[in-house]
Amino acid sequence: MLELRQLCAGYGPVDVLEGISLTVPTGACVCLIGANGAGKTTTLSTIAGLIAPSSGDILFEGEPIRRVAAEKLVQRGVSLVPEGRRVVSNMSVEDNLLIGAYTRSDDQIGADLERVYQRFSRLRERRRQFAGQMSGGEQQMLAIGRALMARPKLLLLDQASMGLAPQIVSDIFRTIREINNLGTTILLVEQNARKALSIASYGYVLESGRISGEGAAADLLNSPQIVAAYLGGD
Amino acid sequence: MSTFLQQLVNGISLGSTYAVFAMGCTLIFGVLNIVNMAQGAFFMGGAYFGLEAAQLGLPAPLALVVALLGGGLLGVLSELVIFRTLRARGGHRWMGLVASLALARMLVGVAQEAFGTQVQRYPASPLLQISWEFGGVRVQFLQVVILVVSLLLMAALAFLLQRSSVGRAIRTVAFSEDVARIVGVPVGRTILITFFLAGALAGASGMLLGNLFNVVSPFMGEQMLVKGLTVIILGGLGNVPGAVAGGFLLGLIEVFSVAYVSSSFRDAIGFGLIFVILLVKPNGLFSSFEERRA
Repeated sequence: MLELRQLCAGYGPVDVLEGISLTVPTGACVCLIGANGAGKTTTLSTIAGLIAPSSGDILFEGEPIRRVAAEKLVQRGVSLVPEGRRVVSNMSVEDNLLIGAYTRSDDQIGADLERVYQRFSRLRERRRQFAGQMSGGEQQMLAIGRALMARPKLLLLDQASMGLAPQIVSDIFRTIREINNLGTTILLVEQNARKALSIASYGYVLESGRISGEGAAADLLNSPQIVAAYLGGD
Repeated sequence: MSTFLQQLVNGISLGSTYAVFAMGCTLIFGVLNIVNMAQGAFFMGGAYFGLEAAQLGLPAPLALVVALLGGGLLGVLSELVIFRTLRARGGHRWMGLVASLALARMLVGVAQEAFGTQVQRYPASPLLQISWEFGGVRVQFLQVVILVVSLLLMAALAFLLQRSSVGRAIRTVAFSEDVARIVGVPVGRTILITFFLAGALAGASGMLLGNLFNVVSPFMGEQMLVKGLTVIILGGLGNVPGAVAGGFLLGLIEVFSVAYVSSSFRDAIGFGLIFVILLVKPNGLFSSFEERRA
């Protein structure tokens, strides 16, 4: 579904990503782990079209998309759940979900809204509230719900667990797994490597803008280097 | 008492035109974080569009539509020619401020050439001149019409912003352009629509105030711009309901200061308010976390 080939990108003249290649097969859940500043967010922002790559290629469903604008990518089926959630704080929960369906004109929007509310009952309870008044976990659910409202084929999740209580983190990961099981391809970026590898099928390790390792998630979880560098002792 | 009620009537109809004008100013600020100094010129332009239409024999409601569309057209052109160009070159937002000021001066110059510097008046309408008296308080039909039209424009804008897909897109762009892009909102087109709305509101308020005072001149927009700025500071920058409340408030303050203090102090009191409010409530009288932006 998605393939990066020798992708270089960054902000201004200096590249953060120095030639990244990775593949996300259709229906898979792939994770990208790495330390702070390794380039995880830059990778997702570049795929989503927010940052123009300086070289390399991005293929989505076999077609090059490196010059496609972010708003057009949403139409083609790429949705980003950004770092820090970025829900529109002064807009109601329901309006935040509806803006997620902005590019659609079919008659299934209402049904999809209902589906999001079924998945996240907290959002239904708070649908008239301002998004900014909700807790971090609820905002994360909203950010995921907003992305789902676009009916993405590929869902990019940028550090969905950041700053959330452990119980909420488990809920969010369970939800991601469910979304994947329903057929949406997922690329997630995480600092919480253990959790990410536990729901992903395949993982890449990003180090200073380069891929330093990759493998089946189960193998990475058992690799001594990965355990030492990213999984800690717990 | 009847003086008080009379001023209340006058202040509400005057304030409603301020409110309509200020909604446009605050909308632009909410979305782009810039003050569009040409809003006053769009206001003046709208008054002339309406005037020309009325002189061609169009009935008043249609002339108002012409003023609305004409103002909107000026707004769209200013975005396409000036603001978009500056943004594409990474211009600082002060550049937009100065460039829009330059545009305002140019439009005033064009109006002077096209229509002369003489004050002009709308064709007299017997219907609008009807007035009623209730216990010493005179209410003109014109004042009622102006209030009703203003309230309709407010309701239309509120509906658009709160209930429509375009409105959600405008509010999302106001929150963050990147967030708008990741949900698929075309940022450039949404900003263009915002400029149309702001120009249309300015144009409509130009025709309304031109009728209320029965004066249309190339210079009418300059004072209005300063009033618009006062109102959006009163109401909180980018806050649409705040702009409405601030517009009515400024209209009432002006009218009451003329009636009870002196007409010489009308603007001094109105603009003195900005200073006081900036001291006491820097985010505007109606600021709250949720409502700060359009």
